[in-house]
Amino acid sequence: MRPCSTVILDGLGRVRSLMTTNDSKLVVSDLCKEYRTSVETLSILNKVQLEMNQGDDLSIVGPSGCGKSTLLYILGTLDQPTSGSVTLGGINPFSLPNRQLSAFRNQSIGFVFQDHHLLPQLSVLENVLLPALAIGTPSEESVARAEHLIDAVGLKDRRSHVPAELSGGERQRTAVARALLGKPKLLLADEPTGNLDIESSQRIAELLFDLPKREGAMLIVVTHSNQVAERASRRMRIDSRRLVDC
Amino acid sequence: MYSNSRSPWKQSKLVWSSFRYFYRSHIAVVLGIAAATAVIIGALVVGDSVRGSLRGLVLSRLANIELLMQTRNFFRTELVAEIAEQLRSTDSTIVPLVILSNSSVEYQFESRTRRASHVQVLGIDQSFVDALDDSNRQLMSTTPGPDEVSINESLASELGVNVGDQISLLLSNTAGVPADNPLGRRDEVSRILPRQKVVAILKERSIGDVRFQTSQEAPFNVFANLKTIQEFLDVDGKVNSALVFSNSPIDAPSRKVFSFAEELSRKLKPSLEDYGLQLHRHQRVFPDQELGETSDDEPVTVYDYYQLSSKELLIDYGTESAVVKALGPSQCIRLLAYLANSIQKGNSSSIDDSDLIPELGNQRRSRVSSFVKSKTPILNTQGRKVPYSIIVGVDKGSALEMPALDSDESNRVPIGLVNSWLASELDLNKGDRLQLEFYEPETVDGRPVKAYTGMKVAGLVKTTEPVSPYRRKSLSKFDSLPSFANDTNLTPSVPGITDQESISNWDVPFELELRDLILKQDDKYWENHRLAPKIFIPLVYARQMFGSRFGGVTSIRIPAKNVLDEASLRETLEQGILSNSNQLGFAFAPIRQQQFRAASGATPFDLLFLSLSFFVIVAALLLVAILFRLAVQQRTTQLGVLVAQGFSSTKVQAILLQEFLIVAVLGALIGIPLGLAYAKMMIAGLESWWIGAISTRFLDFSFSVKSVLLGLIVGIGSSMLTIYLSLRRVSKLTPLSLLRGQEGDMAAPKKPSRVGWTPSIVGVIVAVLLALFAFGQTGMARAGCFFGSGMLLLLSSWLGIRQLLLYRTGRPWMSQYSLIALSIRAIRRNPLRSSLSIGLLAVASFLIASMGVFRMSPTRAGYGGFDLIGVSTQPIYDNMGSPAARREAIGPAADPLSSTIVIPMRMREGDDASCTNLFQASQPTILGLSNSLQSLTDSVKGYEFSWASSSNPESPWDELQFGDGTPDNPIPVILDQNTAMWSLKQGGSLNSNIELVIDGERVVFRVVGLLFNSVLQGKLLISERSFQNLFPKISGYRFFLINSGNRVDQDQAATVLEDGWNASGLDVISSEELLERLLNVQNTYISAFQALGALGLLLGTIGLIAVQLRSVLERRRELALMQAVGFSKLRIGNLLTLETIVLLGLGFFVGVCCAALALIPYVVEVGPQLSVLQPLLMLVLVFVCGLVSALLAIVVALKIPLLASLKTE
Repeated sequence: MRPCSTVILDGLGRVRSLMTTNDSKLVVSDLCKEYRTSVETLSILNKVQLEMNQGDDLSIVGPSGCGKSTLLYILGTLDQPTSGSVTLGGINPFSLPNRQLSAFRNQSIGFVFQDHHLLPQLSVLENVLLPALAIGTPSEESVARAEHLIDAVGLKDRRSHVPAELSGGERQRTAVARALLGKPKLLLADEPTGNLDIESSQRIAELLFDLPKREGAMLIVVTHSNQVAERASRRMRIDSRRLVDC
Repeated sequence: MYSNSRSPWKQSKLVWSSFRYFYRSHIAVVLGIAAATAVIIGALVVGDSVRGSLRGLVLSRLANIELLMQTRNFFRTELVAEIAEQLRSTDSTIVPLVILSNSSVEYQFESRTRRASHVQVLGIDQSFVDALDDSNRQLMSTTPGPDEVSINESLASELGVNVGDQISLLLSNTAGVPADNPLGRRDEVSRILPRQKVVAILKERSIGDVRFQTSQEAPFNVFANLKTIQEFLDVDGKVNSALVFSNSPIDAPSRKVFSFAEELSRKLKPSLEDYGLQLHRHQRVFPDQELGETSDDEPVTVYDYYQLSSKELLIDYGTESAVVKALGPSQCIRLLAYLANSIQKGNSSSIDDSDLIPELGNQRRSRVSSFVKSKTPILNTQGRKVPYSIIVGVDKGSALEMPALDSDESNRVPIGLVNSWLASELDLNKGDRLQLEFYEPETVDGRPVKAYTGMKVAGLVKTTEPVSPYRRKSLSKFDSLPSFANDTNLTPSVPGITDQESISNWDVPFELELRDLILKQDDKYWENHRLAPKIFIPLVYARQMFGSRFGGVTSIRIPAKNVLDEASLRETLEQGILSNSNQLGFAFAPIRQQQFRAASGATPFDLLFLSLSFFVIVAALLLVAILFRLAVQQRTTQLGVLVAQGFSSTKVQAILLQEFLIVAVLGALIGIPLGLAYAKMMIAGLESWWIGAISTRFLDFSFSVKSVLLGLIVGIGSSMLTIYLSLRRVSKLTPLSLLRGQEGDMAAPKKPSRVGWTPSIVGVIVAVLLALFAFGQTGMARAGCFFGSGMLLLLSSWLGIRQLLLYRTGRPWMSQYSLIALSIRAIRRNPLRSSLSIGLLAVASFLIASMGVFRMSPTRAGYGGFDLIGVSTQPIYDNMGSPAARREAIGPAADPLSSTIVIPMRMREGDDASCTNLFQASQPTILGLSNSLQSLTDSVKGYEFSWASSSNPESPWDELQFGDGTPDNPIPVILDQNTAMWSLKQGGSLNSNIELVIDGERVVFRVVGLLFNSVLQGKLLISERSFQNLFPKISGYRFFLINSGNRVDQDQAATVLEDGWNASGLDVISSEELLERLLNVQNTYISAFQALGALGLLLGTIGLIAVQLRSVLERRRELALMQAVGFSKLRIGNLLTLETIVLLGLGFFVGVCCAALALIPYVVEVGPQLSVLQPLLMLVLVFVCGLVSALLAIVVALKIPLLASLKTE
């Protein structure tokens, strides 16, 4: 079936929302990524194939520099593939103009980075609400959802604290809550436990594999941690620039 | 629930939170914006202060004076009294006074005479003091009594006079017969009013400095007793000026005041006497029993008419036409009487009239319309020469039936009637021809010039011989009916001639060469007929022979039978002349409004200081750009997070722009007090180091809210634009680059494209070509070409350096393991940042070092080889151009001046339109130049002026031809380029028109030549003929170009000339010094630019330090690592210092090298005079400051526990 999508714009031509079909599949076909340096052209990914359905989770492992994060950023539309295609919910995000791409990213994708990347000037609640701010003033519903997510990650008492007042684990939990605010179809986590101790890592891993599932989101985790990787229902690795099952 | 529901989570909150969180990094940006805004506000406030100070000068000098009327002739004070009556119910007061602008003052001190010229003497009475506002009334508590004067402070200090001292006033004589008329007095230009006791010295910036021309320099003023002045000038009960004071003067532009002035002018009802005219009734009956005449016949009226005549001998054309128009041409008869030196009969053997007809006459003769006038005799003559006779031109319609002239103008023989006495004396009959010798109606170089004309006797007029001659106070008596020709009133009365008992006693301003020819019968004629004309000619002929710029008639007669009574005739005449009264000065000028308008300034100081501060503004904005980029670099990852969360790049930009708008507003607000302080500093500079730009200290600090707001808005706007432009680069980065914190040029190295070097190479080639082209140019064009070439080379070098910094993968050009190599690698790590710093320093050092190219020194071509300039307060009528005339005028004292060359010029004094006058000149000084200068230039080398452009480069002065000032025939004018461009704001292009309102009339000038940096700056030069046509009443010469010659030194020549023409108030000054003073304005601006450039450079250096400090902080882990592997702090310090030195050194090196190229032409032309010391000192100072500050920054940076940095995130 050929996927179709509709972009809804407001009176000023701004993207209000993207209506897609009920098909929430992630389809990656023949994805390649190369980098040109002043000396040579480096191939990072070659003909990567991947399909995921609503509620699937996947962990990707592999040595440093193998292209795990690159793949993640391409799936998150933060980077462009050299060739090949990516569709999510039937939409090829790379065919969208910039403004619609931002709206797509806001509504369909959530990120959790190794370094939490919280805005130091904002409180926990405000950080979580940040994606809502990207499309206007957060609604009462967004605020309620943010508070619910903060509760869910166990930071109810910390919601007015700023990142500097939180531990590393707490910061990362805030980042998880932020990633889930927009009910994304796809949650991407890049080494989410890379900077955390074991206990915090476990807590984050639980959250990552539990919350998205409840929300019906697909999850892709890039990690070096076997404990985290093993929690995924599907495990893959990058071998010779291709994505293969472990 | 959302815990803070009262404050909904909005974008503005994110903006505000970010602003607060990053306040430390904002401080630097705030300071940069504050600096930029301060400089902009400061420049605008300097403009405010200059305008405000000029306005302040006007306010203080004019006190509560609103209107001024200044006439050429003295008028009755009753004229003012009539207006005063009408103003009684208003808050205005009118005050009559005498204003004598071009007077001199002498003060004898210890057997030495101190003299001040260009003094304004005001004859005032108590009404002047009473009309003043309170503060000035208190200052001038009493009016000077008889032989008492009050003087202003500037005059007191010029002469060293104190209260109680006595001074002498040299006042010009009142108007009479124009001095350029052969009968005009040229020997008594001024008279001394001695022993005037100084009773008060009026403090500066008060009514004591009252000035009606616009200039910031304080005038020399003397307030004298009105009665004393009137008695001395013999004008009892008369004044030449009136001032209207207002209790509530209007100090803002107001149409109302102009309307008030016009309304008041309309109320003026000057009498004929006020215009310098006189109306008399002349009636003669025969027999006149009062004279004791007897006759058998009934009394008969010989003549009965009213006669209008002028104190100036000739009635000017404007008045004449107004009178004729008012009365109707048929109701009046115009007469033009003229003195013939001699009358002689033509040789009877010649009966051919060809000599008398221009076309048939000798080529040497000038054709004056249809009649011959020659400088040499035109007829062969015979018999006696009758000396000193009056010829009168008579209009049609007179009692005397004049024979008609041939209607064919080209073949017209001049004819006239002779009286019976002359006919008998010369044995004349109808058809005989006469030769008349006379002086041209206008003198040349102050000397009368002989001319000849010839006429044919058309008939005789009977002159009745009296039985009793003229006696003092008694007319001659007749025993038979006198005729029209016996009327002595045909000739106007001329003091010194008509009141003498004998021709030999005539007091005339020329030598009576023909005194020996005066015979008994001539004296007898004088006794019997006085100046009764001997020849009567048609008026048209007389006007062409004897008419001049001063007028074409000596009297206008109105037969009494045409007049109801004298009162009604007067009224008709006065009404008629009223239409011409503007030109005679009978109009009130809104002097206060005019001066306020002029105070808007010739030089827009706000724009000037904005340009002078240009580099400081650019440096501040570049600093803002650098600091902003540093601030953004810190937050690149944050921006990436926002993008990752679905913020569009436009939205991210908007958030950042809003945040930095707060920063900009804050910075700009801080810039306000800094700007005011900066303006104060600039004003202090103008009052001290840069005094050359304003000539005199008069500036007070003042500012308008408008300027501050404008500066604030421009400051915010320019800062935001800078930030926006810097942000555009960031917004082009990919989300991933942002997330990874790879800002701009920190991103992965690129292989430089070949195109990268092309702009540099092309730039160098064009720069070299431009430099080669420049060698073929001269003056400013050459300087401009070299400056452009240097600038281009600078740009090319900067692009080259940037390319080198970008080129990272090439072969190393020095050991990669030396400290210097490490520092260069550190510089190359952030190519844009480094090249910006180098560029900033290079441009600044280039500007500082090369602006000297525009510094001007006086050159000989600037003053055309005339090493002295003379200006007199009174006109000089002697031909100062002639050594013989100089000797004649001042005797043997003139002997040392035998090789001195003097070019005299006529002058109509006006506003100083040179760059030294900050007021806008509306009435510039106009000079009338004869062709003597071009003749001199043609014959002798070394008298060439420097020209910016000319219509005729071969003979530029020849372009000064006649023009009448109408749009169809504009007056060709030569003026200095700076005057055209700045002072008159009329543009500086050749063949453009300049329009001025002169004496109420619009006059059009056409620019035919532009002088370049000349000593004639501020003046308009037109041909002498155009000048005489434009200002017919101005006689003599007041401006002199002087070459002292090789037989006397400059000072001696100046002394001889000043002493010789002391009575005319001649001031002789060195042209070089004057030119230096004029050029000093431009040079001062260059100094100011250099000084402000140094300030900008300092700001740039601060930017550099900020960059270095930031660089150290960015690299703290790496520096810590270096410590960990054994680098000492000193060695790391050396490394960082090297980086600073390389950046500073490269910037200075490139800038100075390019400046050196720009300076080549100047070095070639001026050589050792080139002032390199000042810019060099500035550069060294800034370099040292930059280095010391950088070292301090490095020391501070190294105090951070670097090893701890290894552990930081």
